[in-house]
Amino acid sequence: MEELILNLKEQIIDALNLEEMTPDQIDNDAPLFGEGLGLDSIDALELIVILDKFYGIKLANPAEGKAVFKSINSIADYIKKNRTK
Amino acid sequence: MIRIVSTNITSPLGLTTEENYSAVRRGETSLKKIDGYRNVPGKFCVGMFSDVRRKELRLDGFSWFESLVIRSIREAASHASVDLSSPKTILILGTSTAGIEELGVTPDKDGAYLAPGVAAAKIAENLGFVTKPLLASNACISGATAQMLACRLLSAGLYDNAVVCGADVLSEFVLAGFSSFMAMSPVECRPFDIERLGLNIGECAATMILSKTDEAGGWNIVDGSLDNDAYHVSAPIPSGDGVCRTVTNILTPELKETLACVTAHGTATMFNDQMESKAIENAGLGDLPTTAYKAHFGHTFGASGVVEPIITMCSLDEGKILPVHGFEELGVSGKIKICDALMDTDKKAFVKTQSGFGGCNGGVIYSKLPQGPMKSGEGRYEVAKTLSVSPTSLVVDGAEVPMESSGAALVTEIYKKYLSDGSRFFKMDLFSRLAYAGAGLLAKDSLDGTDPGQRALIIFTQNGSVLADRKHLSTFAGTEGYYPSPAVFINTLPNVVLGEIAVKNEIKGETTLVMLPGRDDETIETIVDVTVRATGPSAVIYGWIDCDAEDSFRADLKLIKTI
Repeated sequence: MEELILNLKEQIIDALNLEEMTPDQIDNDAPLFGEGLGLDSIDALELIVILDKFYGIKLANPAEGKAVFKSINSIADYIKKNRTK
Repeated sequence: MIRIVSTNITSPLGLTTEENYSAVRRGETSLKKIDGYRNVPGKFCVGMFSDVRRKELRLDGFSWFESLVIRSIREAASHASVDLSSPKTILILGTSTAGIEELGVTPDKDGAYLAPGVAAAKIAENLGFVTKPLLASNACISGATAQMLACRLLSAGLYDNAVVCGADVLSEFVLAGFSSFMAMSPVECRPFDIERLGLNIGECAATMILSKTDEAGGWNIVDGSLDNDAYHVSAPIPSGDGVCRTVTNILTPELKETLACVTAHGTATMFNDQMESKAIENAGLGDLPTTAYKAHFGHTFGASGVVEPIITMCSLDEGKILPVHGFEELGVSGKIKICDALMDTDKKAFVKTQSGFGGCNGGVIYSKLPQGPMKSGEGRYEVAKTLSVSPTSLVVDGAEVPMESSGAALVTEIYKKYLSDGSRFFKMDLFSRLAYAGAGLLAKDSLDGTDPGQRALIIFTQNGSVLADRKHLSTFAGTEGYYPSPAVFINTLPNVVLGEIAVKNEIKGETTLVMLPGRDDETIETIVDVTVRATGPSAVIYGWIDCDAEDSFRADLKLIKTI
């Protein structure tokens, strides 16, 4: 799980160009949207691409993403249960 | 007044205005379901030309985009007595992606790709124009922006005729981008309907030839207004505030009495149609029938602001208002009347609304009734501040500011030192970063005391978002798999950064991006001059911003204010 979380953070930092941010600066439980990382809805779409590209998970409905994308922990949980690669 | 002396529509529904109008009148649509498009997987519904038609219409030595534009203009010019080769005739294109399908991941793979303004020059040369063309790239309102540029140049007496062509073609590039946005409907779109699922992409070129005249008879552009209400890079503001203002800015009670209908943008996305319904209601037009044509043509982007008003002109000529194809049950909360069955009318005027990514909106009123000249202001302006950025220097008001970095890092240094506002800066391509940091520093503490609605932003460029374009292509052209990036795609629209600058600096007036064949300061000054004369803003940020490689860029910006 720890390795998954580290990989996930690196993938997010890379895809969202969160320059000068390191994985340990992202709190596993902090909200990703609004406060916390301050991601927006375009970033949510980018997270959907990450799930597909690295974990083979297709999230067809962006609305489903709301619960999944709450925090790093919630995404990691979802990946663990649903990954196909 | 500004007369529309001739029109053409070149779309999958036909090659003339008459053919297209007849098809729309019969309830036909160009939308077809397809399973994947070239390398883009998925189920789509798009308004595209058949392969046979494409082959037939393609001109030797020209891209598909250039071919459509040339054909549309030639046909429109064939029934107008306008001399394209006169020094008083200008070509103005409106497009969001131009010939992007020719672009390669690296410059050596470009083949026929030309920067949009350069493609415009090639088209102009083929058609015999002797004047330099302009190209408005304001996402979905590019067509309206091109018409406004034309009206201002004609009103100022600089030209007698303007050939305005709005065009966009279907490409893997755009389809991949919108599929990553999850904004496309897999079935025929249903504007304003409760079951609408999103937009369909269409391709089209549509032309209006405009002339200044005092004679009665024929359709006129009465007036238009462009503004910005950005609060998010892609989602429109739910209140529809900006669209509403573009209408109320130009609508007098007398004009309102003459209107037959509203021809809406009606993209059939959840957000657009909801927002637009509020805007139409709040502009006091909820009692008029509202119509929209996206279910006939798809969303034709740069062409939509030209083809859609042409269809309404044809229908009002016939005394009819056409129903919204695909509409059954109202699915928006704004109190508006969607035209759901063919209606009779004897009125000969209407409003066209539109809005696009980057928060830009446009409202234009067309009428067959004689009109006075467009309003013009007499404001006098002075330069309040200047700023230049190159890979090795930052110069503010003529004085060099010491910087530690060079190249792209210098742009980041400007952002960090002076702005650092938690914006999407780091997610942007270099062109957008340069514009955001440059305009941000220029505007910083300099716009105080001016009304946000009276602040305007006009950026001129040659290469625009080409670096973001290549990056977007690389996300699905490689062998690693098909993963177009929405965060990259959004910045392939070079005007999106204008929205970001508008949010940061509270610019709620006009924001326009003009692409030129190359840097041309005289043209820049002319466009800004006719724009401020027509719209009278109290502060304008404008200038040249270009970037064609990570280490090759230039920004020269000015802030002018009324004296």
